[in-house]
Amino acid sequence: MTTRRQFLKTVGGVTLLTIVPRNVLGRGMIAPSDELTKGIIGVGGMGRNHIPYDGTRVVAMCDVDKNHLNEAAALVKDKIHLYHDFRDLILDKNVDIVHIATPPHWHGIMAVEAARAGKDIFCEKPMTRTIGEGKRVMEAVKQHGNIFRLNTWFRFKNTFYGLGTPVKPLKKLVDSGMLGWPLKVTISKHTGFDWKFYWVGKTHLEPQPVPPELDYDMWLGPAPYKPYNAHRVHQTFRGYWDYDAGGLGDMGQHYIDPVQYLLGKDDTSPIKVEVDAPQQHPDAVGTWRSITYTYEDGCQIVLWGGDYGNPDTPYIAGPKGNVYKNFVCDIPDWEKKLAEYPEPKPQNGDFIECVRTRQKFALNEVNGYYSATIVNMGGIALRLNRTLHYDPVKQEFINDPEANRLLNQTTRSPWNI
Amino acid sequence: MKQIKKYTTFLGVFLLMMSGTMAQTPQHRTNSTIVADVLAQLPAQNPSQYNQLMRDLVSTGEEGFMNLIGRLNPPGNKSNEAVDYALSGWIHFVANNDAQRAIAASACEKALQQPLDSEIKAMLIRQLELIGDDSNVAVLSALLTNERLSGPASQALAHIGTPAAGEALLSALLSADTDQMKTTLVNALGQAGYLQAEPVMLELLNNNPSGDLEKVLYDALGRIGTEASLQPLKKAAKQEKYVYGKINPTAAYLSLLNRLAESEPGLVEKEAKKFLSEATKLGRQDLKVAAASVLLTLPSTDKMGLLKKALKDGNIVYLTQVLNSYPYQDDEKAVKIILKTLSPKASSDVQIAILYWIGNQKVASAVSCISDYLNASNKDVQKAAVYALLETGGESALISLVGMLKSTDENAVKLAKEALEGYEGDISAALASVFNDCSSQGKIAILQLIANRRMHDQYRLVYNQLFTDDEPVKTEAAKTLRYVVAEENLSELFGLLEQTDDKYLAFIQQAVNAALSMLSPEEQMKQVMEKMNASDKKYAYYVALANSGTPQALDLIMKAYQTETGKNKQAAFDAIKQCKSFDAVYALQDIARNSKDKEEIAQAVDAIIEKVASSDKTGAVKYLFLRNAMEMAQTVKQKNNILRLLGTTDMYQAMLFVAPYMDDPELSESAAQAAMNIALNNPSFAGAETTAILNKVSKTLNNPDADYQRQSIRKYLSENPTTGGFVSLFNGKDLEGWKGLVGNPITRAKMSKKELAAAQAKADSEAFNDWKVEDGTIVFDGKGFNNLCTVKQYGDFELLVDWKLFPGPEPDAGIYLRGTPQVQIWDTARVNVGAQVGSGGLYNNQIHPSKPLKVADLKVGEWNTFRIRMIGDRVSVWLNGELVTDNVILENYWDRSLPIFPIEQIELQAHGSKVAYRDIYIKEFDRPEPFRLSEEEEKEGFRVLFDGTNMHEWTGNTKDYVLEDGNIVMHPSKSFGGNLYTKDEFDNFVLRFEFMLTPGANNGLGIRTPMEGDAAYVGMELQILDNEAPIYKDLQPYQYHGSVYGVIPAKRGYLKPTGEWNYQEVIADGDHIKVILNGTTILDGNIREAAKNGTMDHREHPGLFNKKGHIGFLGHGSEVRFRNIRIKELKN
Repeated sequence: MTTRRQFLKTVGGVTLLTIVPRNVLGRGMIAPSDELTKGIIGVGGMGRNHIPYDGTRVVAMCDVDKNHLNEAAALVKDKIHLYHDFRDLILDKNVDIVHIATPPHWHGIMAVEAARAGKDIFCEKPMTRTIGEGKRVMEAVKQHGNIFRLNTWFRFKNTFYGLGTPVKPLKKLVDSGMLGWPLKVTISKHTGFDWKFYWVGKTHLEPQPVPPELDYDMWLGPAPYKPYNAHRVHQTFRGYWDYDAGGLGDMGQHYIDPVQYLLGKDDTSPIKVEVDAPQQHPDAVGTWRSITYTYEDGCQIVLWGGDYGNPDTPYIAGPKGNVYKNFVCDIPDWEKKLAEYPEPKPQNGDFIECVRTRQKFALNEVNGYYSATIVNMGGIALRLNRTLHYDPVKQEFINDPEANRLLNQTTRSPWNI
Repeated sequence: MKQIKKYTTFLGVFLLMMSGTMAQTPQHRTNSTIVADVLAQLPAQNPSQYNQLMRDLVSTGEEGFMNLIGRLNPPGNKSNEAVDYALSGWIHFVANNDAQRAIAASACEKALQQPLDSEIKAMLIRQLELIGDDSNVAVLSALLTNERLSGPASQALAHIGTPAAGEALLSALLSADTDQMKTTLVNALGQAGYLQAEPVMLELLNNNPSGDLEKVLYDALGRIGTEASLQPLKKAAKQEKYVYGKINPTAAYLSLLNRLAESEPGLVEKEAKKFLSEATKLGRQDLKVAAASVLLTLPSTDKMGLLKKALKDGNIVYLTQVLNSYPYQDDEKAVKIILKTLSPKASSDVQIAILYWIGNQKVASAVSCISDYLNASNKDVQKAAVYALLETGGESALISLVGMLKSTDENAVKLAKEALEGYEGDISAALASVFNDCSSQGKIAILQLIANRRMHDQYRLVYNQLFTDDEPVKTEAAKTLRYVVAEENLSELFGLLEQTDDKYLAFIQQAVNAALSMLSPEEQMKQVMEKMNASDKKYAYYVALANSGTPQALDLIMKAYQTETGKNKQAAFDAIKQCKSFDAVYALQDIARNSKDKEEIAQAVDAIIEKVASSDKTGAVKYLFLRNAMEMAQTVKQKNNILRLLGTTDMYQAMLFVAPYMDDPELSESAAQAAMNIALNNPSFAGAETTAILNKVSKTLNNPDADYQRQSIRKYLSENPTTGGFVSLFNGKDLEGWKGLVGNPITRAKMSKKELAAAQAKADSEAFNDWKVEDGTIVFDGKGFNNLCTVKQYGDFELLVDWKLFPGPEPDAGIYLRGTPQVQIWDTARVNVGAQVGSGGLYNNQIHPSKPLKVADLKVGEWNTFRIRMIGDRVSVWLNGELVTDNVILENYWDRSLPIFPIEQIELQAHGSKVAYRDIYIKEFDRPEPFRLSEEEEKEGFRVLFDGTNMHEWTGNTKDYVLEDGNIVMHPSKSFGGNLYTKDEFDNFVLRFEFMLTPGANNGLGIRTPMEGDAAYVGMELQILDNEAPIYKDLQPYQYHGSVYGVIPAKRGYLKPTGEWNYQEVIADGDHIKVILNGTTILDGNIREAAKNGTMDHREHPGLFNKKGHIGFLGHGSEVRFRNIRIKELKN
């Protein structure tokens, strides 16, 4: 096994000189010097959940809100480095893995920067806030040979939200062909998923003074400048298109990524997205009734918001059978028949092992890009309130220049990606 | 209503809308009116409304756009919400229509030239960024010198991205005087990809820029630079020693190299090679990767040399990426070299990189090289080797994987087993072939694989292992047996059942059950009974009996449990736990209630929990059994499980039941989650009590999702009432709020106050003698028929109450609603009185249904739960979660000529047998005061046909016409289930009523009509119609609202808008018909004269001159409301 020392030597020789010596080693434990280290960017809410992730130790944190930074630092016993500018954290030679847990409008830039510094990356969902940024991340990671992990996991472990089953047996059922083809997957409250419509923005925000602990300009970063209001930032930022896409942005990749895996769409995109929703405010994210994605082969992913949709709809509907919540299938004797098929291919869900062996993590920058793209396509269709057609090869909308301008949004100086 | 040819009309309008040939410009309205109208309706609620509103808005052109701009307020206390929706909606709506897009863009421009607040202008620029083109470059470039707006304007220009836009940015850059402005412009030029900016940028770079300007210069040159930028970027990168930094020329240099690769391959190759060697010197693997990946795309690179070096280098980061990028297809030599490097002597990193490469690229020729690494001591190597095998697949991979099972290395066996689970194809024979050569561990893995894939062909192999001396293998074989058995193995399996050691009995039983399950329950019973009767090991067969799930089986096993002892009793108990039938819950409850053995109780409770959780019973039934289980639960885990499951029942009582457990630290989280789930799933439970519980839940929640959950709670509380809701009618301690029964509502009304008081006092003392509070329940155990009555009277309400009958001679009870019998409760076994229909019917109804729709009772002795809703004179009853009475009129038992009382007490019936009630909650619904005649109308002799509380005067389709909020409401139904008629017939009369239409509503007032046939012809129909709706634009005059349909037209234009109440008076006096709508006489005519020369619709109207008939509402398809209906009959 490669030790941390060897690893660092191989990943970036210059860092060897600056390794902080670790002296006391407990018996039977991973020596701290062999343990991989992480630095977390964005420690207001989600970022704090990154502290205890297995196999790595926090050595640095970064936040543009001083209060958040100090509160999070207090959660860690060891003395760690605290940063205001994420680039300083990326620069920190003690950091092996950069965790990105900021609002999504920063994910793309930070991931690209971390890749350029030769760091491995652990990024919160949604992967990026625009389709173009996702592509940049994919390119940068490829160019520098980093290992990238997107932080949603239902395609390879755990019970998949309200569905009452892990995805693996579902994948086996889908792959067996017993349901037929094409399939229609419905993600709604009735199939066990909640779009969290409390992430809606306010359509009228009065300008407020920026609190002294917050560097609002840096918080906004690439996003358009808009006068500060507390509702834009921190716990409620998801309600604004500039930073995220409400419940769709928050939960979309959690819910859709496993579906993309189920349908075997890890390297392609839908050709059409249709929305049924109230008109969206240009700034504040609102609610929606449904978003329907259609693939070239006829497969569909249907999202129903709130309580909409028909409660009897199966999670997966196929021409030869249906699967409902809690893995209820209406094919007679399906369990027996299914057992005869092989299990789905094992997926590598051990990030530390991936870092060691330099192999792609189960959910990486490539399949992560494609599931984030589904989320982002939905956001664009909602904002424009119309059906969009997409070319999965060129990865752009067809005959819709306005929609294409939302593929690659411009960024506020000096940020770009 | 009259069936109007609205479908063709509607289709016509629809086509016009679709074709776009007819402008949808709302005629005769000024642009500012249109804008105001649209703003009032924004945001659009659905796509069709959006399209219509935007069509209207866009029709106002520039004038409308500027009107909108004029309504914008600077940031502050006035909201721009509606205008925001209007402007952005407009922009999106026209974005793909060149002509209209140009109008919107030019209007934006015009607005930008007005003296507006900067934030408003920034917003407009962001709109223009989405739809702008060359024609907008001028106005945007004028803003590039504005400190606040240069950013948005430069971004808009970057997105427009044409040469003109680039030129504008560049010329602004040339005249920019601050670094900040330059930074903004350089960044935009980079994003615009404007190549002509390169010399200017290089110049700027020469002048020692710093900070952000330096950063964006590098970034931009990386995007747009040519050969000319290579050296400056390289120099800067080198100066930084290629270390990542806030200012990162290395990244720019790499971007540029990649960009130039196609046009300048020679130059790039030279540069990249140098870069690779510098990176190698620095030991920077990420930069080596970047250099190599450029090189590998170039045609002239010595790729083989690069590959060889990488293999020699041996760094896993670098080697992995080179292998991934190497175009090895058709390069057999490269494959050979790579495979040659794979040697046991190579470092583990090299082995890992190459093995994964073999797998990723599916290099079939490499399979033979892999086997050496399957047992490597380095686990990562081992895993990589297995991965490579599995990915390349094929017969030899199978042989290797199966061979691994023979290993004594635990990890090897584990990896091989995982891989074989996913191996596509038949692995059965291969597994069998190595079985005997495997250690215990390998054998166990094989047995597990056999089980997973249900390899029936390996039944014999598994069976034989039941006789091995290897205990772990034997146990695994016993576990596996159930997955490979078939019906024909049954006799052998029964044999095993007789022979087996008790240690394996449970597994053999499962195997027997698996084979039995292929037979019908009756056949199962037969076979098992046969074997069992011949056996002296009866206990072994109970589980097989239980598998049939038949009631006889359950009875037999329960009897065994009660009569047997020791092993046999235990076996019977185990069988009950496994019994397929839900009815086993009753048996398990009996066992738990009577047992003194805590372990036995705990097991019974576990089984109950499991049965309830996996059943498809209603939430109500689950709630009842879970509540019982809570009383018997032995462990914290059981209690938590019960609480969690209660949270899925959607029962108000369950929410109240779980809430107090939030105070128990060991149960608080489950209780909080359960209460929250019930509340959030059921907005109808909202109210004061639910609010208090949710507030407590918010404080109690302590889990990773708690913040999300608190958000959901806040949302629920902001959207639902936080006061009112259900209140408890029984405090659990005494009979406060209850009283005895005196007479009935009619006799009570005739008593004087004094008489009533005296009678009440006597009734109370009798009632409190017969009714007792025991353990938080109200129990009647008396002899008489003294109902227990609420002190308060109720009108419209929803009542929740749990009840329980006790075994005895004639179990019987009921709930009186508004002082009137009754929602029936009785023992379904009493078939002599017809009780087999079940409880929950309106027992005393004679005209309307009196029987429940289905039997939903639980066994006598169990708690049941009612949900009773009474609105007006209609009653719905849910018994144990099943709808058993569906919106049925409750008849007045005390005087059948009267409607049900509008308000009266609720009574718990005593019927001479023991009965208990608990958890009584009521929610009252507001309703308007019943309609009363004015003094004048009373004097004139009007009588009320509908006062808002009951539909006693009406008959016919009482299903689609329902009573809501004091109105008769016609709900559109697929059934088109007929009309609503007065029970009485009328000849000449004055009818007064109010009605409210929804858009496009179509109904009709039938008069002098029989109940059968089309009232417009067999009687007379006065049209009721939203004739202003666009879909009715082509109506015939005799179809207008108020017309005698087909005969005399009414005047159009006097209807109130939809959603408002209309007041109508109809006078039918002989041949003379008059209709007054909202004070205007819209029809005044003589039917005989009108029909003299044939009717207007050229149809026969045989019923036109009926002397008398019913009055009816003739509706379908759309919602209409009626209220305050009264009539005066005219004397002839």
